[in-house]
Amino acid sequence: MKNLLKKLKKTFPAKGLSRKILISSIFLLIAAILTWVAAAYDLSPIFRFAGVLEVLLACVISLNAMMMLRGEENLEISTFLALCIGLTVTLYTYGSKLIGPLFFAGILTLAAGMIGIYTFKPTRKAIWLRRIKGFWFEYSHNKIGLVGLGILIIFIFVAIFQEPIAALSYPDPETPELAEHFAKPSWIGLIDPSASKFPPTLRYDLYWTVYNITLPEGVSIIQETDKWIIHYTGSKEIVVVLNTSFEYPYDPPFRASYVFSWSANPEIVGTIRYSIEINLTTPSGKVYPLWDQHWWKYKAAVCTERNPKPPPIYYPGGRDYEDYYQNKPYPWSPINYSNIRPAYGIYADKYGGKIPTWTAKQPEEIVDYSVSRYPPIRLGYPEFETKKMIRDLFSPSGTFKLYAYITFVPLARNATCEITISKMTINVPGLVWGLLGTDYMGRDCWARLVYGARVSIAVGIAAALIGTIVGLLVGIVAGYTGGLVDESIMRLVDIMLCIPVLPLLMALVTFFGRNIMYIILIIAVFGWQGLSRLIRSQVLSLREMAFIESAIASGANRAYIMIRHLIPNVLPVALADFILSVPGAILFEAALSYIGFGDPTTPTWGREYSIMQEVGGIYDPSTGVYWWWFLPPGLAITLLCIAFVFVGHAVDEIVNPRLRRRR
Amino acid sequence: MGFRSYLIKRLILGAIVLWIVATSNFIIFSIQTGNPVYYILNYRMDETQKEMLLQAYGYYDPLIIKYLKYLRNMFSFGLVYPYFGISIKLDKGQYIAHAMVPRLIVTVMLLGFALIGRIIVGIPIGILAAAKRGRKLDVAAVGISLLTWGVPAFFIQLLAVLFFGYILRDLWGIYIFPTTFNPPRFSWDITWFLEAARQMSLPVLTLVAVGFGSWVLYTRNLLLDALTQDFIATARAKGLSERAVLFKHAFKCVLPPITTMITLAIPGVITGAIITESIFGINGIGTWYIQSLQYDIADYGIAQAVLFIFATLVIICNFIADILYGFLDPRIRVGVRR
Repeated sequence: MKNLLKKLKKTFPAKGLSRKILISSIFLLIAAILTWVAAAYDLSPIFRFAGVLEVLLACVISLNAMMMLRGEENLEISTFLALCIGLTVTLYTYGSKLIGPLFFAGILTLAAGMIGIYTFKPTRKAIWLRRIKGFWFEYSHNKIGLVGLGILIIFIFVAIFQEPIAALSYPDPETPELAEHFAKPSWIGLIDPSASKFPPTLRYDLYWTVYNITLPEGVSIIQETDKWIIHYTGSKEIVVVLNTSFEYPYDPPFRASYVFSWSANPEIVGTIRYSIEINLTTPSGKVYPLWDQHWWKYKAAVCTERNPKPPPIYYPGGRDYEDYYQNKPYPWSPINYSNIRPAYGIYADKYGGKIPTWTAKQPEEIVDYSVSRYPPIRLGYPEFETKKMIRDLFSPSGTFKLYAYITFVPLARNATCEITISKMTINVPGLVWGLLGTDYMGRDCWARLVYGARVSIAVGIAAALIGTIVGLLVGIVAGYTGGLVDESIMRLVDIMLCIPVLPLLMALVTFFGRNIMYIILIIAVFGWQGLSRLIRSQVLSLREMAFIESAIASGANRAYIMIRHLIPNVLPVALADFILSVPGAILFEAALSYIGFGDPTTPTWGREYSIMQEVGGIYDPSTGVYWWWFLPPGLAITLLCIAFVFVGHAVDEIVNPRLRRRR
Repeated sequence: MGFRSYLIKRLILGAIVLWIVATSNFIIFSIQTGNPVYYILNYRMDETQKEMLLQAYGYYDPLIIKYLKYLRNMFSFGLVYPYFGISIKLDKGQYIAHAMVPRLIVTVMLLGFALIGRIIVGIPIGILAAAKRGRKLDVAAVGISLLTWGVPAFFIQLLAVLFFGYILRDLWGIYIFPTTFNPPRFSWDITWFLEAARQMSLPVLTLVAVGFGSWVLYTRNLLLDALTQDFIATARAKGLSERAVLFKHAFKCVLPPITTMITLAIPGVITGAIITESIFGINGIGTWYIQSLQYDIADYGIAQAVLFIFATLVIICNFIADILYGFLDPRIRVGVRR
């Protein structure tokens, strides 16, 4: 133990590579792993503890980094690592569920990296600036590389400012029923003239006005904000008519719904009868009943055990029950309401009897034929005909009028009744929506696309970064140490290259939980072998060089040589490999999500296709391909990967000695 | 070190890989899920029957005995009695090995066609690109190869299904490729194989289209590397034609590294095959594997067997590539250490 400590002290002398920074980075690593595991299992106390620990250690590291600057140390590697880790952690945790300690740790690490850069000794700074300038000079002559860099910057911009960019269409990717399912993008009218009059999502709030210019005697109407209280005291049968109207200049929608509420309050029960009837008049003059109190009563009469043969049901349109089913397909043919005459009148004519109304107190009832309760408008219509009915109802666009007939039939002298009716709200789920339309649940495709960018980039960068760091270290250790270590590591690499990763990953993900953190880790675990071979071969040739020999001659130990001489020399190759292995990780995650083994809580691009597969189809033979849902995620993956490939290719041509020799 | 000892070394390595895969399967599946025998216990059985069944399936065995039995089961490759065990849910009551055979044949056909197609398409284009370095053909070949690097395979395949199955066939009435895989019942009959091959033409084509790019780039880079060597300059100085230089001198020294590329490509092809099978509804071991891992099926015996078979496939291909390498690279054959 003592020997080990001595050896450690010798390897990492206080004056050399600061021991503090080493120890604290080990702790940081442990804390990061803890956080990772805790976040994966969602064990919040451990997660919080680890997060706090991580923040503290990030502080310690940044302080140490600054302390080290006072000595004669160069900080290229730690700065580079700090920048990379900080960027990844920040990018990944920004705005996600892990925001909190990790985010700040990321920011702090990033800050440490920045401080590291700014406090380089002037000569070192000049060297680095020159290197970067030279690199950029070579890079800027590579057209493919510039194109890739441009695309990449756009994607990273989208990933960082995901919320405001998604809000261009709709801020939340998970809200369903924003519009009709598979609604087209709202700019579809520009390329498809037949869709130029498709309705967007509409919501009409309709406020009633009194249609009878002179109110019947004994009626008073009090209007509250969106409620009308109609008070009647008298002995005569009267009808109060309210009306309102709205403009609908579009093509007919697939669905529509309406919501209103009403209540009745006769002062003495049994002294008055009342009825409410609401009709919709289309621009062509047809009248459709939306609400009729009687209807419920007829409906109840139909299905009793005592009453196997129900009495004929009378519909306001002048047809009775049998008529209604015999005269398909248009049982709802228009009613002639040119003279204002509510249903009860016809009823009374035909059956010569009483008006079948409630006589009891009616508590408030909200009438809501909403989109979720299909069909939306069903009064008097068979349900399977709803789509056709809506089309007929809305087919000549123009001004639609709504009439509410409120009938009072007193049974005693000076009876009093109060009826409250709310505003009428009509919802039309649009056939066009937002920037990219909607998916099968009416969710916003643009928001889902934008939210996928951060996850994809973060998965790609994090997995590739971990894989690259491991590959770099393993390659250097194997190449420089040689002997048994080298042999065993290389055999391990051989073995791991033989294992088909996707099936194994599927099994692991099945048992360890479909968590994006695990997926990143497992992709990284199987992503370092190629690089370590490459690095090893580089190190094998590097270690024969004169500067290593002179370093050994001047008493440098192994760790010092590896960290100070070998890593800086192979870092460019590792960088190129890092960039080139990002698309692999992204594609891997997408494929995994596609077969249904991805994280079900994260909106990734691959998962969209898994959803398409589950829901059953990317096209409808009657309306065509849902291209606004199908194409963008795939194109986005393709573009992002190609951007990384282009950048990596360009960097590779600059830094890779094997490729450079050919130029 | 002779060629034979080299091959033996590779064989031993392959056996170690198989052992590692089998062991990790054992660890992942049996420790996480307990014994799958519980799935076949029935409420109609009484306690003694249950006990008998549990004993028969080795539920009370110590872990080490379970492990040894499992190893015996796996390393018999489904050829002798336990036949990888019995399928619990998916193919109820069948021996896994027996149920696997037709599916394995389909998958191997898909894998083989895809790999061969990639090689056949990729290498000549790579040679052409290297021969016409810097010209338009080279730029186009490299550009397309880089593009295929970034395209997700399933996206291309979904597009292909959409295009050939819906737009061409349904809308325009042009029938080119079958987009579903629905061959007759399996039999060892040449017509069955022809029919299966016909029906998997579109999946194979898409797999080739997605994967040939890396072969182009690899061949081109290797050839360009070789063309800078001194012996090429010598050959040119001798007055050989460019064609002879390219094929007789440069290509010959590029072939061995290309065979190693095969070994590296196989896991990727398997990944592609699993996804392809799930897209085109091909009834191979990939879809079988996905089904067996589903939460409500959980037929993990199948999953273990399939993982093991995948590893076996990779090792067999590696071994073939090694033998090829030996034939192509005389230095290995005569035992010169590289």
